[in-house]
Amino acid sequence: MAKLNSVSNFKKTFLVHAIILAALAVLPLFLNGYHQKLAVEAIILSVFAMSLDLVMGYAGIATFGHAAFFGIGGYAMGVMLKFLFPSIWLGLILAGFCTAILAFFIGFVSIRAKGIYFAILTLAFAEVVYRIIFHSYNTPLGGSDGLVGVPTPMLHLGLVDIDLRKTVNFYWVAVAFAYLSYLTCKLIVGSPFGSILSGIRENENRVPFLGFNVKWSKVTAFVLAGIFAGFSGAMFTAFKTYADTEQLNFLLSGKVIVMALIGGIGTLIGPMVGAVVITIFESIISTYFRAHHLIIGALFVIVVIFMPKGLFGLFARKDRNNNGS
Amino acid sequence: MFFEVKELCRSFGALQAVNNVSFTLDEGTTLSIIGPNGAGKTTLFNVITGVFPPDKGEVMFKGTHVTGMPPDKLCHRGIARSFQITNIFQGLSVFENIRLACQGRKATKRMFSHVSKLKEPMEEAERILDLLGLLDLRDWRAGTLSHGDQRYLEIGMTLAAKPSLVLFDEPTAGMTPMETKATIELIHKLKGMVTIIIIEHDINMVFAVSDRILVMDQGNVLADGLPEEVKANEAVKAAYFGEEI
Amino acid sequence: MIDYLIYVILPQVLHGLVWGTVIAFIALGLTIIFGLMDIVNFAHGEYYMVGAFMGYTVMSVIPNFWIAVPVAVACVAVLGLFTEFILFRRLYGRDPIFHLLLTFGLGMMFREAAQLIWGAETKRMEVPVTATVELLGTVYPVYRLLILGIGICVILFIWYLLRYTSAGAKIRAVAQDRTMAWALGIKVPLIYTSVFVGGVALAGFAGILMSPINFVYPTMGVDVILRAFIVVVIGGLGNVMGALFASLLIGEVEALASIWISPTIAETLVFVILIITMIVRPAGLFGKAGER
Repeated sequence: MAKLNSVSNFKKTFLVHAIILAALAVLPLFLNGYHQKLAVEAIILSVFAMSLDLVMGYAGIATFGHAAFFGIGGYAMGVMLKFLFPSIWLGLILAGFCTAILAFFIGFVSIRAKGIYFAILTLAFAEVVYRIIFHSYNTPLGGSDGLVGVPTPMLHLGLVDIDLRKTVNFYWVAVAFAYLSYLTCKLIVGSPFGSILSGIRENENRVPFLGFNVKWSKVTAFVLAGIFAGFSGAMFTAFKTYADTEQLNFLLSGKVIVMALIGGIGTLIGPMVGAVVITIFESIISTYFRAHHLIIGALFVIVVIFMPKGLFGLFARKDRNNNGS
Repeated sequence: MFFEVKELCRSFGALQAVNNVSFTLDEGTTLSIIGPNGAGKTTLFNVITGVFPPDKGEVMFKGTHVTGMPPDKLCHRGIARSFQITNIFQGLSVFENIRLACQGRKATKRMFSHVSKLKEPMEEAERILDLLGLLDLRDWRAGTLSHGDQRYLEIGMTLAAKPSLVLFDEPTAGMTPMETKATIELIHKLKGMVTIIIIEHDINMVFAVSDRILVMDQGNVLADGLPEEVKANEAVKAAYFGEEI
Repeated sequence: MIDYLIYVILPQVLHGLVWGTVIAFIALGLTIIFGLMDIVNFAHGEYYMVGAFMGYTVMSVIPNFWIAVPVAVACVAVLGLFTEFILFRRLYGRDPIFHLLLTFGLGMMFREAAQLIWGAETKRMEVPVTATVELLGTVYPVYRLLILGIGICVILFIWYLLRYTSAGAKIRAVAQDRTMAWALGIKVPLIYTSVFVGGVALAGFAGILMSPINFVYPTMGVDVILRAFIVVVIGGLGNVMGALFASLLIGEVEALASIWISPTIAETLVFVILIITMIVRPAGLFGKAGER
């Protein structure tokens, strides 16, 4: 009975995924160049927001410096493409490597602080990273001018080479990137390790008595989230052909939290949708209003006051109760 | 010696919460720790299970030092505890609570495969839910259970780590008489399978399950012996039982 | 050697004291508001900014600094009352991360609004007192010493208010146990509102006092709030003495370090101090371990 159920569940999930992917695949055919670009950005940012969900939604750790990883991933990709070797793959590897080390360092040092102290500490670390790069005028990173003129190489994918300078091609690659990232994160949160994270979120003090090391679990979650944020930042730079300090700014750290909250944390897909919604919303209002931050700021306020669990959060609670395990 | 506590001391400021406590325990026996509120029983548990280190003294388990060892390491060695104040994962389902506890002993293996594919913890969790009579409630959110069921869940999570030594901190706290009775039966089932140290206020339960009783008062050991001996002890009578017995 | 002390070190020590005092103004409001109602106010720096801009506006109509100061502080207080009433009220008792987010959005709104109203370019304000004074041979502007003097008076006043007045006793009672205080007949919402308004008015006061020395621009609050946060965390959230001590520490470190290294690196040094403090004492220098 249980087995039968899971098979039909699997079929249903497969069908849903196939439909969404197909819809996403044909979407750019109906969009003009500007909107295609916007779609690529939205999809890349959705991975960034999802990476935050690993720490915030599952492990229940509020971090306020997530942009540091996005930015460092971006700079790593930029350095790789511009100065070292024109390969997206190597850029991603470098981005993952750099962010993993950075996240390990920040996580290891900060994890003893709890709650709001941890949030402020991560903010401080991110600010240090931001300032160091902001003032790096005489280095290849370009200081506050950013690392500009990053070339977009061909993407070697086995036998085929994809020309990423075409927005449509980059779009499809971004969809594949987001989908693979989603599947990987889904795997992580569904694993025993994911259960430990949920345990930490629900009742951190009990977890050690069940035989788990809370500190290392948290650091691991933080590193994983940092790596995925780094990947998305790397893709962002490859697409935009530059990396700049805006990608490291604490404003982005705050924005990504709102993206995740709007979508509903603890669901993975919620933050992704939230990122897409905010990106599109921001682009629309910035074409009509010069002072679009006024409206974005108001949106933050509204989200916090009226929907702390987000759009998907409302559904997710119900869903979890039905599924049980 | 299976388990041994030697001259354990712990103070908070001027308060000597645990003062020179020593006892030994053979494998398979059940020891009850009794004493009035503030006698230092829970502090003793906290020191043994590594919540905070002792000021002095040592704890030996199966011939090795475990003094001040953090809770997760103790759990891997086979010491598990429950809490006086229900300490469960409110937002997770009953089954998830137990399964998480089951996977604790083998935390490092296959860390990233899907949980539902891990046969052993899944089956183990089912078995424990059955033992506790919580199988019908498996998909309920733990926070929505009645107080008594949450207490059972608390016990279940402690057992799920497959410990060889269990420390129960007032398992029957807040239970109805019916539930207390069921808990006594449960402890009887566990006796022989594991070694148990239990803090308890319910005198009926203490005499029903204990092989030995340790009486504490103001951080000190007042008496340590067989139930009949403790019952006959004048000092214990004065300090604890009053005129009830 | 003596010359170096007098002409290089002494002015920087004084700069550090003045800067520390201004940070303390903001940090005190921040830490008292947190200690009392658990609100982490990320928009606190924006009240500082509004104070400066209000002063600037008043000065352009009536060019008298000593009229501009009370008007600006009153404007910020009204703004604080307004925001507390419609926004912060709804947040009491919620997870601090939501406070951080709401005030983050609010700060964005304030900055953008300021840019719309006053423009993005930096404004200068005349120094109201241009006189200088000779201290052991080094010449120092009187206005900075005035800020220092005012700062010490205000801090002493706050200390007196909290320690020796019945209002202060009520505030401390609410911070200790709000339910109990409420049950004893203290009007908790009134205390919350007045403390919040007082806290942001203090930030506004700092804003206008600093505007003749620093420039006035929409993002001036961000620079100061990050420091104030660091100070509050180093001192232990909610700890008044800790915040005062850490303000002076940060002010001095920044001022003295910039003698030998570039000011931007000196700024980063502040963050490094925070990180080291957090590693050694995760709840701040004066916080109790295990808190939060």
